[in-house]
Amino acid sequence: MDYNEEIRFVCMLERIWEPLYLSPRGHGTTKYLYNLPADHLQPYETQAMVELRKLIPPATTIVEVAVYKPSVPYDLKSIQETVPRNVLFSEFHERHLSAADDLTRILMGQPTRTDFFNACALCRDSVNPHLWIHSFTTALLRRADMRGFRMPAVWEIMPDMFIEAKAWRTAIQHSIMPAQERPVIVIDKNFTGSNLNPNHKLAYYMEDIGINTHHWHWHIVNPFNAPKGTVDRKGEVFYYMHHGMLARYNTERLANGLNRAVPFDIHSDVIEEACFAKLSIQNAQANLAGRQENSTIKGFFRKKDPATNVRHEELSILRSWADRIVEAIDAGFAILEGGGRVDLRTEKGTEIVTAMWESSFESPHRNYYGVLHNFGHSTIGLLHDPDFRYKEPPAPMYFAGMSLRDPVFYRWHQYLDFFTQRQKDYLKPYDNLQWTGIVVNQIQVVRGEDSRVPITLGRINNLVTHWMQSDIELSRGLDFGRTNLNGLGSVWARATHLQHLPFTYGIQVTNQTRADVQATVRIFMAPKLDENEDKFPYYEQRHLFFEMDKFTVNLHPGENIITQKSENSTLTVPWGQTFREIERDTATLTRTQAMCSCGWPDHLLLPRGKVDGMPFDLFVMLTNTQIDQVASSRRQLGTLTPKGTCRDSISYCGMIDEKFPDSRPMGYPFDRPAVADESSNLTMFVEDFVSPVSNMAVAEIKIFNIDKTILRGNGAPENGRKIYVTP
Amino acid sequence: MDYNDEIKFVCLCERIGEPLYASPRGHGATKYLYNLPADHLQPYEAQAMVELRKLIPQSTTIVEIPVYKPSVPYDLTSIQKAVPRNAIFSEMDVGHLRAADELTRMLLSQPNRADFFNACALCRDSVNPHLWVNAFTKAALRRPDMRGFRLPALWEIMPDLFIEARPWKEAIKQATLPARERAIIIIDKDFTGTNLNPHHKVAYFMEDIGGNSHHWHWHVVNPFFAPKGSVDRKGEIFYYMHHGMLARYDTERLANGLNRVVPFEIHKDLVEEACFPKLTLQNAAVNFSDRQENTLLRDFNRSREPGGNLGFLTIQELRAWCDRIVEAIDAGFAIQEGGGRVDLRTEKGIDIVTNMWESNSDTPHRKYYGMPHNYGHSAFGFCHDPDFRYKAPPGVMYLPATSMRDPTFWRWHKYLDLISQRQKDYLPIYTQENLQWTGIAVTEIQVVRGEDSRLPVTLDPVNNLVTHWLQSDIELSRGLDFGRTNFNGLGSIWVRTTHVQHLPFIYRIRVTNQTRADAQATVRIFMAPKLDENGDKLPFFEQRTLFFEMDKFTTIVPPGDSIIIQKSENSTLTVPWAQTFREIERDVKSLSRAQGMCSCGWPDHLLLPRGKVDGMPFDLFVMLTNTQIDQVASSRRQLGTLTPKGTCRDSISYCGMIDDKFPDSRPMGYPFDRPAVEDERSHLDMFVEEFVTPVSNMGTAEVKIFHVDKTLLRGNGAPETLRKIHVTP
Repeated sequence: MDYNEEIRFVCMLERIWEPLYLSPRGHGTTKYLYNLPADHLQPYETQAMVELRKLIPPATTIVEVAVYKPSVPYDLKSIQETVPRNVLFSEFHERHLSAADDLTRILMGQPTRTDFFNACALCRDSVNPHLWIHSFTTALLRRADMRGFRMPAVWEIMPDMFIEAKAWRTAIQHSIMPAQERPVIVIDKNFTGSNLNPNHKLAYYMEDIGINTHHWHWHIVNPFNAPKGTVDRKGEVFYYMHHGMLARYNTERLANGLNRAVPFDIHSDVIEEACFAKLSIQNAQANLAGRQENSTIKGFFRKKDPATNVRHEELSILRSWADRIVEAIDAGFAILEGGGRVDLRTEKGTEIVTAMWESSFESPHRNYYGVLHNFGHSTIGLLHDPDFRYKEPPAPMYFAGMSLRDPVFYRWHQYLDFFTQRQKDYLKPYDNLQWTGIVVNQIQVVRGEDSRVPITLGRINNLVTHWMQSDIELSRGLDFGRTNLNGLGSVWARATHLQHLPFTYGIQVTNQTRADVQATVRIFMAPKLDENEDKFPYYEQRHLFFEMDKFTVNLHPGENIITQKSENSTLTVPWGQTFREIERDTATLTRTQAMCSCGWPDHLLLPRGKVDGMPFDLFVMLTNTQIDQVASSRRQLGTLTPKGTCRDSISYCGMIDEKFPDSRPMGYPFDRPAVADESSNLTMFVEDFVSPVSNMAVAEIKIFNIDKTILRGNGAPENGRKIYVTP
Repeated sequence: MDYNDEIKFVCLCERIGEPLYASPRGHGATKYLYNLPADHLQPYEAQAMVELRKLIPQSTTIVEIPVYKPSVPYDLTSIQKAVPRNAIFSEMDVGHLRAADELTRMLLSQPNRADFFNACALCRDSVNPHLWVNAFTKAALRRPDMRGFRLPALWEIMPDLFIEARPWKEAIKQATLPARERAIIIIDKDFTGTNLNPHHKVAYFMEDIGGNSHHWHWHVVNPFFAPKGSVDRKGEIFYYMHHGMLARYDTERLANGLNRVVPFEIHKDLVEEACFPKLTLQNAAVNFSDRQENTLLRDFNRSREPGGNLGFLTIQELRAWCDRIVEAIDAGFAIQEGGGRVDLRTEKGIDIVTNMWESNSDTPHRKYYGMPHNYGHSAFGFCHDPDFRYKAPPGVMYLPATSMRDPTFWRWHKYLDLISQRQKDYLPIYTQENLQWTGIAVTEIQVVRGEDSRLPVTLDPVNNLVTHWLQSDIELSRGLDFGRTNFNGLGSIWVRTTHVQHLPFIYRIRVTNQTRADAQATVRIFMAPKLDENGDKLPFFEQRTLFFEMDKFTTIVPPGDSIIIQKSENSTLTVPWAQTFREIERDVKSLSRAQGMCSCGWPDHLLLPRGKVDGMPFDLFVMLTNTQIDQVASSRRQLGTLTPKGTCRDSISYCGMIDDKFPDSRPMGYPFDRPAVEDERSHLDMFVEEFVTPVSNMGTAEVKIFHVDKTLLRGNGAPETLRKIHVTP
């Protein structure tokens, strides 16, 4: 895919609510004008287009992009009816998702890339913009002729899901300035609240734009309404990714002196935590609702709201769904639609149980086990106005791209997570851990440096996190703003997020066999101490182990040293590409793998830790890739691609149209109890689990947080004015 | 004040949050550019100004307005510190008002109009924009050299206080189009909620832009912070205006099948009513916070909020204040600061008691009786985030311009109103001598309805009044800061809102003067609903608190029979639908005006309650009193003077007088402000007729108000040829 082809798509992602006819696109030296077919515009739009084009400064280099009718005709009527242009599109709303699927099918049905382009451009301004992005992204991921396409960061496409009211309006205010006089809008590191609210200590995690983007992306790649049987290990990857997010969340809580999250039991009414997100969504012209402390959940029925008129259920029914799922787990079988039972005492049980609560189309009986996960999100997201009497938009819990901002998200998911864990507890402890002949002798991490964060700590096993400011170009998503006339310059916002100094794993391994073997290296980490600073017993700590990396390596007979750089983790994706980077990078004319997609944000790979160091157990296990690799998967387990181009995190995001390459249960070996009766082995620690198995090892490392902020420098010129804004 | 002088001020009121240097002002054929002194701008601003002026289309007629340093120097530092530019300015906040007063003083101290203009223009972009409007308005009202100045409608100056998020953002969207391709944004008549919320049935009243605008204006004209003794009958007018609003609110509730409002008792925690106003404040860049149902009132401490000067309060204190005021009323005296007592068993008692709860600078003891009214507003406004831990902005209860939207406004004010009523209950009843004006008899009262050809009604025009809906246009572009309009030829963006309106009517009052001389009479007209929630006739002790004023004027009654005629649109209670920027801009003819400052008053379009589709019965009450007794000699204003409605004037009854005595010597609300009999509650079967019949100069008549559910167009703005877009707030 060459630059000229790519840029036509990229520019459509600018200002997605603003019709293409209205203004030129692109901020580079060349601007792009989309010429839509004459009968596609209303008379007033054509008039306006003519007038508005006169306002483009004569010096501008213009490329006109012709848009034709695509060869496969389509009808958008039902999509438009289901999701009007000005409603809040939600990934938790079944009808919204199926409308998005309709559009995806239209886009996928176009035979050539040109037709695809034409269909994208023509549909863009006729459907809900967030729905369009959803379908466009889904189609991109699946179309072979779009391989190599670089998608700009989601937070530049839809900044209104990430940037709060104050910074947003400051951007509008300063967009009236000629570009060179505009300041950088520096968003305060204190995020949207204060520590009088203890949960706010985690704001850097909950409000991180990378993690919210990841969660949005994850739900696009893994929609709950994927046709039955189309996604390999669908339920398990849902469970595992959210389980990992929870382990990380609880780790951050411990690092901040807070107790681990208390699950929100659906049988309880009161939500103690408040959430004031301060977000406004442009296309819906609405401010997201807040939630006060001690709000009670209520059954909802918003039949008059086109955006949320999902099926009506009493709260007691949701509670029954939850009870039935636990019943099935404890009974060992689930009821199938149309009669019959499905056994849960198998490896596949995790899959089935998660499908029951997610609930995806893999659920054995969707009417009986219900749609607990989605309805929980909706119930909480709509509790401030359950019958739409106040015509109030939903709260962040209703949206995949924003729900992580709410402390109750983690409480709700912790509750759901326990279902799947309960299911796992019924499985036998692993007896397949040992890989005879392979011995992990020693593991360590060696910290890299950044001259701007001077540290005297030893470099071995002492990791360091700090704060980083990264720039976001708001103008790419500022619909109907004044920038588009003022020479289309940038409006920069500067957000602060966690970052860490890069590090390298060094793993010393002995291969006692006489042949080369291919090993899968599985790296996990968990906090060592609980709320009381006591060592975690294994049965608690195993739930806190989160994946750091998974890759394959060749082991020669004898001693081997495996080194792996943190930035090459297969779990993470790098900081998203800005529109500007893509725009300016005209050199790379062909790329085969660039779709920057789903994955844990690289900058959050490490937990924050503590100022005086927080101890962690770093765990490494080597398993036999010959056993691990799923033969029918075309994807080779743990393949590394250079990080400069983008790629998916397979561990967290699964595979589209393909088998998951790793045959082990996700989270292996921590996903099951280590002993038959876990709760009577309260004094078992991780060492007791690791020592008997030669191909496992654990080491204590510490994470230090240096409360210093450095600049990524990925955007705004440094000599400009700065304006400081509290969200 | 001639046009060229006036327009310089008017254009300052456009886009108050957008600095003057950023864009030309005015939508007429001529655009105005303010040339600020060079050292007033930052270097980047000066640069930007040069670049931005290049974007103004060549063909534009430009008038450059030089702005100089005013002759009296000033220092804005303390004002800027107290109220940052991006804070939410509130008339309920002592610190905010103090800062606004400081700016007002500074503006008033400028010796001539040119200096005043320079000071206004230079301060404008250095202080909080809402504070600036507050101070500018107060100064303009008081400066003799500004007489005749016409202030555009508040909702065009600060539309963000009135227009909800959806139409607002639609306007921003429309602003990208060339002016003639823009659509009229028609705001749905359903307002911000639905009738699943029973209170929403009176949303047309609570969310009316005229009502809210009046309430804002009232609090600007009557700040609680006015120096002690500077405002005549300050407490009483606070009580009376809000009492009138409550009577109207209860009437609207009865018309909609709702019970009258239940006072919010401060000894209770739970606020059942929710409020989701959907408003965003431009200068503060925040969305007003919502309040969910069943929220608890809590102690607050918002000292961490930038620009929040209210500090903290425990609900316990608030309760203690209210208890002490009731104690004082029942004991018959209040405690004075520094010792001593002040008697409450006098006519002045109403003033003192209301001063206590308002509480204004005239309170006998501010420490002891506290500030229940303001702090109550704040407690409601902050209960969703009492210690600012979530950095959530206040709710609408915190601002006078928005608080009427919240059902708790009415509950809170009902509670406070009952405190003042309790005080009134201790006063001796009006004697026959007081009420009776011997020799004057009101023999018949009628109202005769006018017509509108667009609204055919078959009802008899006599004693059958009619309300309907009216759509009026608001030019949003005048208040759309940092929008694209200012480049796209500065055209208008029209928003069309719906409000209650009535067919005009006249009063015909037949009077006999049995004396042999002309008598100058004050005509006092009131109205109240006749029936209670059950459809039973309201007993007088309940109905008298529902009587709301309709008009008050003076007339000469010649000896013998005569008929007094008064047009509804001449009511001295109301001000007409406010002038738009455009009307002022285009009206270049009237080069000198003596009275133009359109100010405080009940909105004319809300003069009549909505009534019911099948007619709602009201008691119309008329009383004639002797103007010689009524007129306060030391007041320069003649009681009940009528001025032609084309120019603007104040509603004295509701808004009081600035720097003058209140002209009417009678207690406000006379004769309904006191019980009619000693022991009111043992006269449950006394009705209004029994009150009226013995007094010859009183009369009452039953009228009915019919609501015709049809919408007409005022036609005060948008050309009908434009496209239309319908938006639900």
